[in-house]
Amino acid sequence: MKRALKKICIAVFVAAFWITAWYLIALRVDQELLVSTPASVGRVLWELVGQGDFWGSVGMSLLRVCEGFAAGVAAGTTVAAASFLFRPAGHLIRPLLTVVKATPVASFIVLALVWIQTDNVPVFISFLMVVPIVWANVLQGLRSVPQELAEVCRVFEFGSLKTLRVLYVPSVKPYFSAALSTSVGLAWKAGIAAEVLCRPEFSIGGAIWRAKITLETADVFAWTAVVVVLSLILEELLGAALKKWGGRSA
Amino acid sequence: MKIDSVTKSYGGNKVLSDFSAEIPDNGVTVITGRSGAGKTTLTRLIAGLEKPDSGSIDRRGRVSVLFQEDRLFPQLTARQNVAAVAGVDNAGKADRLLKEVGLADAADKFPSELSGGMRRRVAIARALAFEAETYIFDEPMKGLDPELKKTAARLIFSETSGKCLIVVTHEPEDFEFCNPVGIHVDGGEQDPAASEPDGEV
Repeated sequence: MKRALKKICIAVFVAAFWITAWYLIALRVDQELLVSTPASVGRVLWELVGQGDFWGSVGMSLLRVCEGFAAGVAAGTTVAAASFLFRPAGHLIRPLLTVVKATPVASFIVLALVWIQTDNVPVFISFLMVVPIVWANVLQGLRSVPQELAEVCRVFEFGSLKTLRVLYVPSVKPYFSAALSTSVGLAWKAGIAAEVLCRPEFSIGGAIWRAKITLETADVFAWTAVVVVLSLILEELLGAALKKWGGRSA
Repeated sequence: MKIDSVTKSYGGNKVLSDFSAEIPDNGVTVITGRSGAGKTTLTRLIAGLEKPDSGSIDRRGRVSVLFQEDRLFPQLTARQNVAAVAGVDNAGKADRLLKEVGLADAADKFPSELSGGMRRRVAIARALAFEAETYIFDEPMKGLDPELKKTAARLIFSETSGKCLIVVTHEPEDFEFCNPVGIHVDGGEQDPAASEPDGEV
């Protein structure tokens, strides 16, 4: 209890420190168009949460990113398993995923706008951000499976499913969890960036873009704050789920 | 079981050379020899975990192995480790064997929560839980105190009665009570006297 209170006090102090710093910068610049004050951003946020469109945009953006994230996790895991089981597949896929990792996300967004329907671009971009991370981590996990335990599975004639459950899943779990933690934030940020450029209906990115062209800087700040808060919530939720899943179980 | 002129090398290092022996299908065989003489290699060949470079092993049925290392699954409890090999229709066997090795109270503990001797006993229980025709125990008494050694040796002997039990050990006296066949391995040179089924190792 005492520890929790201390944690809250520290968080409040840190938040107060940075909001004060922001306020002082806004005062110094003295132009709402360049840097909005925390008070005006707070006001805009208050107005936004009372609007149905706000929740529609938040919900749709979350849905798009989650779709891309889930598809990326599934594809990354499948490709990692294929690379582990068939070395030639690993050799083929490695350069492709290395290029995906190294290419600026903006290039992919522009290309995706040419290739696919606007609404699906954020899904595709989130997917692209997740695949290489999940692939690399899961493959590393598969390669770290203790061979002496694999021999135990052979001796005691465990079938494929039992070997997967008893040996591979627990060995790969920490690598998989690390991949999910790393990629969820990236998928979210890249998905919103894609929305800014392709502006699908009901989207946080679209709202940021509209605020920018109408020079509503306080709105840009408010929507950015929403992105940050949702990113933190997503990471916390995923962290809690992984912690629960990480418990020792057969 | 007939081991016929088996040779096995690792990277140019010949561990077993033209090794032959007969192991009774029903009874205890103790394999001895200095460290690095090829005892573990021989058991790995018998278990089918490796193939000989030349020669053959006429093996029958399933083989259960107690490895030199405990090799327990770290995320499974002692009971789960044993039950995993016992099969679904043999659920009570895991509890019975854990009780026999004196670990009934530690059945729900994970390997990391057990001492070295306790982990060894779980590994022994696991090897015994597997229904097989041949049981290979590589240094089964490693880390056990004299009293536990006695209990473990008697349990291994009684649980594998009527089957082929092969024990690799530096302390053959632990199994003297069951009048074993002795095989001495020395880099592929079998000691002719030791292969006689007279209990002398």
